[in-house]
Amino acid sequence: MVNFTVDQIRGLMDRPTNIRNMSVIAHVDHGKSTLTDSLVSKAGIIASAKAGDMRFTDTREDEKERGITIKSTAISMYFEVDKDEISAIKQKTEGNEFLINLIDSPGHVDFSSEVTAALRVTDGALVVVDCVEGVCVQTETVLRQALTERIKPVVIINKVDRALLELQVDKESLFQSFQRTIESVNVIISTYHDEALGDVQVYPDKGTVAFGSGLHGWGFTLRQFANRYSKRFGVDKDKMMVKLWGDNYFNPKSRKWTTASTDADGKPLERAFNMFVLDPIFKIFDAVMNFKKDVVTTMCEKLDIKLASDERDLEGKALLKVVMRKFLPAGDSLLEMIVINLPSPATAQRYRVETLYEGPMDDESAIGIRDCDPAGPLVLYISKMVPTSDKGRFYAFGRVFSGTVKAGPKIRIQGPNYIPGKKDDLFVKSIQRTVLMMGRYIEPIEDCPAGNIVGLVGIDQFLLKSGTLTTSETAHNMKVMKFSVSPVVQVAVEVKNAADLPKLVEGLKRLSKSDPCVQAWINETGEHIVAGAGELHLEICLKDLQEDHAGVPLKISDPVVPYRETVKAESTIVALSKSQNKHNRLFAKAMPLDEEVTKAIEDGKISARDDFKARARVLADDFGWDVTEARKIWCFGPDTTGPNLLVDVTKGVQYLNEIKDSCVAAFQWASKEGVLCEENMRGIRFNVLDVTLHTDAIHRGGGQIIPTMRRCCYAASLLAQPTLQEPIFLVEIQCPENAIGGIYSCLNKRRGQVFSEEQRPGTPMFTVKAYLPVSESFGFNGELRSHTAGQAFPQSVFDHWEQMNGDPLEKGSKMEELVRGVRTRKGLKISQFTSQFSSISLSSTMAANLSGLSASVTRILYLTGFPKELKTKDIQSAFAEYENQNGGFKIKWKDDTSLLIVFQDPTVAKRAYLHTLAFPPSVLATNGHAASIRPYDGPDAQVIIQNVNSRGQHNPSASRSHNARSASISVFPNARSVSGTGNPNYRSLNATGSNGSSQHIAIPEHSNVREREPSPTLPSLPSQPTLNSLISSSLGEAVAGSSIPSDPAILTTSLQASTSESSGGPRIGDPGKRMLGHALGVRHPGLNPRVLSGSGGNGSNGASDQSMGSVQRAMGGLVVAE
Amino acid sequence: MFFIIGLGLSDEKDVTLRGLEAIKSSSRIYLEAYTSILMVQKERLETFYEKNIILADRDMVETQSDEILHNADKEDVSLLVVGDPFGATTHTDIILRARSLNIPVRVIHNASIMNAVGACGLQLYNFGQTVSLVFFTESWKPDSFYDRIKENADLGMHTLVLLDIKVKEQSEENLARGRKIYEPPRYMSIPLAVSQLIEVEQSRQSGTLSPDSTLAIALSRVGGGDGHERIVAGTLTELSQHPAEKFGEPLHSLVIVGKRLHHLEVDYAQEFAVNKENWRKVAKEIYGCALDE
Repeated sequence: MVNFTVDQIRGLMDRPTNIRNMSVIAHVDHGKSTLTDSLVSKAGIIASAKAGDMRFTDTREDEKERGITIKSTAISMYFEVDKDEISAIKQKTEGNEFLINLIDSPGHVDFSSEVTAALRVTDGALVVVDCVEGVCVQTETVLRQALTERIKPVVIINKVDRALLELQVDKESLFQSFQRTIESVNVIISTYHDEALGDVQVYPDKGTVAFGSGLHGWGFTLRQFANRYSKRFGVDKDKMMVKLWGDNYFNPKSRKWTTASTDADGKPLERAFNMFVLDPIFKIFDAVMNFKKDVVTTMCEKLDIKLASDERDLEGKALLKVVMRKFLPAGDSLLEMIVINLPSPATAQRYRVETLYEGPMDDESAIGIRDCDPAGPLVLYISKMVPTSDKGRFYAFGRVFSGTVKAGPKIRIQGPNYIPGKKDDLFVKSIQRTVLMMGRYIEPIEDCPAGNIVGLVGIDQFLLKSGTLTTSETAHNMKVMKFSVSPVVQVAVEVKNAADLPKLVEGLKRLSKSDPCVQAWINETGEHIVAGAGELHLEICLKDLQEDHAGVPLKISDPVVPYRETVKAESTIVALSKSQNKHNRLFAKAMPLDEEVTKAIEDGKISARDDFKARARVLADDFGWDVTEARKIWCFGPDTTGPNLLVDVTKGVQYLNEIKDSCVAAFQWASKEGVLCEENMRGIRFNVLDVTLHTDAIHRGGGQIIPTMRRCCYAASLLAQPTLQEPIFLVEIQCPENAIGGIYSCLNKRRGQVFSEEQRPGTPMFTVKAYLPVSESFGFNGELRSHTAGQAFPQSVFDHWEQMNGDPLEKGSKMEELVRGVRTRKGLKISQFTSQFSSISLSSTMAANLSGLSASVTRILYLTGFPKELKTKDIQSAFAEYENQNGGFKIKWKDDTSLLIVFQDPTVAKRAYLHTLAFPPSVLATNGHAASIRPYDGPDAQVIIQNVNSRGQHNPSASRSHNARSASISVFPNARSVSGTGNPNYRSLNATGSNGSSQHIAIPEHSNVREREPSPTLPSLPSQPTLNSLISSSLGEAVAGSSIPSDPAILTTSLQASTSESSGGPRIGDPGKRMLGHALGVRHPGLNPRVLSGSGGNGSNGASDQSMGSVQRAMGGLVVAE
Repeated sequence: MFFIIGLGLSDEKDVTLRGLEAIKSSSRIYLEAYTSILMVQKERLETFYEKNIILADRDMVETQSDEILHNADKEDVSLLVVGDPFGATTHTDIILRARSLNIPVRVIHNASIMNAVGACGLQLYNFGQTVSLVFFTESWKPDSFYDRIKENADLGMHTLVLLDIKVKEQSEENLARGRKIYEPPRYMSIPLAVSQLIEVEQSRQSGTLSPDSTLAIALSRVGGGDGHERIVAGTLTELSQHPAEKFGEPLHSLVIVGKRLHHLEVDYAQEFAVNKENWRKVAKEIYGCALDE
């Protein structure tokens, strides 16, 4: 009994002024679908008696079973507005027939991507708010989404029957409750105020707020009542509406309107709204529910309600439903409100074009959109794909913004990655059919002009999820939709039966097409991963996959959570990476990006597609960036849009632009697969400080630069306190007071943090808001329900990324465990991971090697091969740094060119040893002489120590006059003075040294040695943070700044940073090890660490080799200890 | 002893006697196979040298030099390099590493395109900086070589342009992911090289490489003997229109003729010219070469 024909609708399509595209949005369970039924029944699509029970727009089986909407559903309706009301429409219209394209959207947060897709193609929104629950988290979310898309809202306060029947409120408190709800809606609206959209706050007295009950099918705006009363009072309708709301009172005695709540005698007056609007409704409710049959009949006559004979026999709620529906039919009043207050496409596209279209505002497509011109070039945005009855195929669902779409002619299908002028992500194909989406049915139509919502057949295989269709060669894309939810919950799926694999792959393709938010991909280990916004979303997706898209039995893993890799500080030193052929060097640093900038990028406020000058302006004005640097942002990543930046801060480097592409490519991969566990990076800024390049392009192609740049990024982030961020849900829980205890205990167990707990005024319900890590959220809903006897209803929506505590580089820490877990899951090499870390700070395998350490490093160092003319003084000055630490050292000459240095403290000895390896003091290495140093562990070690100590106190103050600092810094003859930013650690090392000096001397050395050191060997591990400092400071000198000493020999004297797992040393081929070696500017690790070996005495090589191996282990051990 | 032995330009027989002795004495022999390629297969080398040869690709030379240098201080190891060991700069690195390991290094020289280019008749004395021309991609068009050519041209010197070869190159994605999947080998042809030169000239517009007034000589398989060696001379326009197969098989090189052109050079190269009259005409009128008619 449809009361319109497709031809009528098609006729209206050509009148953009008489089209209303609107979506129904609300919090879950506030009654969208039920309310939509009222509207649909008005159009005659379903019988009015069934409206409210049928949920016509819930088309899927599971939607019906669960009673929630999962997919948004569109339906087109024909509506004739009362001729008298035409004057109320403030925009251009022709005639009184209207085409209403309505999209019913899901309310559950997990599906809010469906809402986003629905909002994109509509201009207005009907916001449904539960009269009892009020404005909830999802109400706010969808409203915000609507407003940022420049969509005008109208509000209906739903479930008024509940307030009357269940809560039994009186008229005044109902009014107060309405007013509070409207206020909170308006607060949200004004928060996201947009000049172009104007004031879109809602006011009952302007007819933009309706009240009603979707379930009973009745509803009204003040307009209906104003109609009734304006004649009686002889007042203009619009004026009457104002009188019917707010502080307006009618004094029945004096028949005067007043704004005072009391009359002249001080007696309270009844509010006009209560008296004229609520009173009749309350009376009907009272009469019907209390079975006052006579009263009902008289009231029906008075209100001009005609009941059919069978309806007269009804009783209770059924009668109430019939009476109310006849009295205040929801369909009429709502459709009227929609037609009068929501903009037509012709009106809306004028102000929406700027937010919709990426291209310049003066090209033909922009003009076509602005004017909603059916004769303009075609611009059509596909916002989602709707499965057809034909398995595996989809309707492309979208809106024509300009031009007219029809089957036949070739059109350009531009995917989201299309760039004008390029051929990527572009297809030129023709559409097979155009259809009208009518809920569970479709109607074929000839063509579809601008301003309408349409389904297209035959192009689904060219689009992934969304895209722009156009006929204009110059057209840019429509802006991609920003979803308010992110796919933060992942599972791995695999087929039970291996032969089904192709079906799974095909199914995943279809799944990712059918849902705007779901993501599916194959990870490195070959697992198929499906990611959704929440547990429910994922559950639905997997069900679809299993039953529909793939149709094969699946094994589904436990859910896992993605992390983000970020850094906490600026890289302590400059990371250097050399290309394979050693001709190119890249210098970079990582630093954290401000959270605001990161957010701005994620929200699309700063994007890769902006004009670089405009973007630089924004960064400089709003985020305190340097303008010149902001202009030199090379790219965003991952996927060219992510919240990590590669910034060129080099000064005057030749050929730089020729490697830019390679750097960008490397950065994309590096930021997609971070260094810790190949999760996306987030909030990291990489500064390319300097590059040295081969002059010939052939030696600096992508093959050389890409891996180098990637390593450089990794090294820079390892040096910048890398850490992980985890996703956090914002959970909103509605519950009665007695359930709050249960909520807290549930949240506490799961690292949840409550940050707000409010009672909703006028109700016993509490709203608790909390942050809950996504990783702890699995099964939360169920547990909460059992803890609160089913009284608490949580809504979880992804809110933000939060930095996790702990240090992934610290052995045994929680985070290290986590990183290890992720790596294992992804099938990444753990050893690679540790070796990546080892040279910086962590090595787990090193722990095993600790035992080897004690035997090799003693308190005695054996120094030999230095120039003959050196005196004790010179040696002292070379080691002056250690004189003041824990008892200092003494020197025992063996012959002219060899001596023993006996330290009081084995830790200091080790530190001195490592430091000397790293920075051979200049005095020892002059004139081509090669000094070598090694730990002395001869059988007479004990005797030497005793002898030296018995010699009496060596007075260190004699050598104080030497400049300790200069001795240690001048390792590289031509190194610049150490730059301030380069090595803060270096300074701190010195600081510790001088602290130690105050404790010096006082203790008699003999007893000290005896008590602590029965053996000259080293019994325990030192605990000073030395190696890090050593390495850092060495690198600070080696790589800080841009002017690296070009002599390769200098580089080769740098400290051996990469430790080896076996004494054989790592092979160069291992990328992880190589990476750091390069990154740290350190000599190739496979080479012997023969440090002071200018010409190299061959004889001693063999002997020292073994100890060198142990030294490597020792260093690893040191690291672990820290 | 670690030997780096130049193999010369063409086939197994180009090796020097000293080189051959070194090869015979070596326990391991590597053949470097990416900066250039030899015109014969490894097997022919093996039969000729009566030794097994290990093919060392870019990866091996650049990242696994340890393996190559292993034990080289005790026994003899040879790295065979097409052309001359110092022709491609990569080999300095392995020598440095050997040095730091205290491995004695001996370099055995041979002919290289750097000197054999004289075959085209231009005098080696008058060559300026050598440049490489890489494959352009849609977005990556490094054109800094143009500045080098211009510097040479401004001084009137010839420029030897080496054309890119892609043997065992990885695609960008595979590179970034560290996968060792290689693209099929590609060699730049003369018409492609010339078209890239012209493309850069069009964007730079300095006239250094204007297609009709710039002489160039294309060489292929220099030192390959009569059967293989091809030399074609002409203006850039002529070369770009010349059928690709006339230039012979890869590898190709290109010489951009400098303005300080000697008449003998003109006479000698005339033999190879696509169009002899035009060759002389351009040499005379644009290059200002005093030619006797």
